[in-house]
Amino acid sequence: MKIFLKTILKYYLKFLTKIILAIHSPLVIAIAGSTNKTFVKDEIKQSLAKRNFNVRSNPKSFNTEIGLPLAILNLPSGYNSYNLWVKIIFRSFLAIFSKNFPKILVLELGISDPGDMKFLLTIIQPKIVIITDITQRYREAFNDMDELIGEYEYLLNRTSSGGLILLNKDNTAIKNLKYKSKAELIFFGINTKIKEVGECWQADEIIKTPNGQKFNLIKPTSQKTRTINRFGHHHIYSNLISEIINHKIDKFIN
Amino acid sequence: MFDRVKDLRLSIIKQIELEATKYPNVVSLAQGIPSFDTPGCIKRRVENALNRGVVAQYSLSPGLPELRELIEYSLAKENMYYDWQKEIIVTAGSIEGITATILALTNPGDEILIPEPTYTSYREVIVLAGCKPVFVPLNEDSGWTFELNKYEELITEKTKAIFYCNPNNPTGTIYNKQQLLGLAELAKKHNLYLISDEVYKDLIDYNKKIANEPIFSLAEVKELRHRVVRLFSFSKAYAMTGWRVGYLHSDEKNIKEILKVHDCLVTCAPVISQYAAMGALEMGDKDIDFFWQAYKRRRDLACHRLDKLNKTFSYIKPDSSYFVFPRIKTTNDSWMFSIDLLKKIQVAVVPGMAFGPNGEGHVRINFGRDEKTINEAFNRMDEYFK
Repeated sequence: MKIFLKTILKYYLKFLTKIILAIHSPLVIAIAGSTNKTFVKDEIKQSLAKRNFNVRSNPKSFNTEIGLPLAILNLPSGYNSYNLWVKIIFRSFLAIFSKNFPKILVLELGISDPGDMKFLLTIIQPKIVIITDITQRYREAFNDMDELIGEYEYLLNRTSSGGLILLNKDNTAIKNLKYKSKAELIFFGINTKIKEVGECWQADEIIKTPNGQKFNLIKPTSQKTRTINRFGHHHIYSNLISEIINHKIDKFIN
Repeated sequence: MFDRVKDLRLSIIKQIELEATKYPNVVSLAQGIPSFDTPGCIKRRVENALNRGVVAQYSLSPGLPELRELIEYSLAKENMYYDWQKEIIVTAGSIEGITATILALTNPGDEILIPEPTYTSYREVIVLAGCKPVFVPLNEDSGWTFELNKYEELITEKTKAIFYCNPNNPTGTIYNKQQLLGLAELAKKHNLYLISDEVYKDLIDYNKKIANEPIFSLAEVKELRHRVVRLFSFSKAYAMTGWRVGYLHSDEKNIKEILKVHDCLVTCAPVISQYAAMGALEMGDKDIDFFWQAYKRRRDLACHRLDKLNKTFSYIKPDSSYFVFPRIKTTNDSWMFSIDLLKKIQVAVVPGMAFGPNGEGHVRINFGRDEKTINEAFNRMDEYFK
């Protein structure tokens, strides 16, 4: 019974979300990968919000078949409460008439089973796709790593030629992805020193300070010193990605 | 034989609990366990992990990456910035984290300052590590606060760390920012570590109307991150005492060393409990609010009942945790008083001497139990002390 109701809910939310996306046509930035999605999402959202863009992103990690529509519709989860879900279903219908729908959606895509990516991409069509990294995490439901990697290849293949793909140059699995998208491709990495791959934004000379990290941000045409108040290389990746998005966003919005 | 453990003692709390099992009609306000069951959202997260078959194998020694990432995210909301990959370890409850920390950061013969009365097991862990606990009395008259001059007096060349519990068990005191920064100044001056056990940090400020206003932690101060090891457990905030899961965080320089000991002690925290911890961080906020409201009511109930026993007890109203630590007016022998209560009216409380020399003459009463249990214990005491 529970599975049956969950399936109905899943398709109802998908249907409604597709209607809303068709009405408002926001720019969708999708973040996929095994780790660091939430930090990247927050960094992008904050930097775009500073430029007064109206941005919406997944609250917590609402990034799966039900969580993603809820994130887009700006609704909470009903968790295990039938009463809460009834209220949410009613509110979700009202979301069609929302007047202040954001111009940009920054969405994490979570996959834990084969076919998850395919389902999520029947709801959204991202113009900008970011893959943070691919590791063994969440591999348990897949036969092997190739099957898991296939989910990410599907995402890249579905990115249209006018789109943008950002890939982590430091991750071995990402380096070996096979896909045919004609979207613009930009790499990001730390100390990659690889020139032949095309456009690559890099960080080097990373120094841990008492207040965070200092590093040299190398863009294709310039470089500058950045300081951030967070610790760990994953925040440097987040910062690089956010810089690239900010550099490219006008092309997608105007 | 048994040289290393000869000075250890079974926690007095556990001794009282063992003694209490002899009385079928006992009402226990002794052991620090909440009356609630683990919230449903956490159980469902665990059920899901079980069904997916992901709990049967070891995790990485510092813990599941997805849990550590969540921990970093939740710490950042409280102004504590730590790298989940290098600066956070998921532990088998906070006591394992404490043990690993003390074994890693100290050498045998070192001294560790402990404000007291405080949690009874600290002493045993310090002794087990071959170190010497040095008790520094809290000032009861000013609401169990630090007196910094007393620390200064007791610091020697062998002093390695100051180890405190905030909010404090058993007094329920929250040390304020000024007091903690004073402690940090001392630590800087004498090159000491600060070990901060914050397992009750979500059960705070019952005088306010809403929960979730974080307490100040020295782990927020970036220039102190190489000195501070902060510990948290899911046991109290999420009613998960049996799951044995918590975490600690510090600068990577310290974590690298603590991780070696953690690996020796437990390899990794129980993986099923790590999934429970993920459920807590992902979906447990509402349950914390619910528990907080319940403990606030129970604190008020316990204090109201203590007021009626004002010939036997005087007390300072606790701001946090689920303990009240009244002074016994009629005797200074807390052990005999507690045993007497147990034998005569089958009410179990913890004698204050368990929490350090300055705890003598008090008892610890746990108001984390349900209202019915609290009322029954006080009804018996009302009758007994009439």
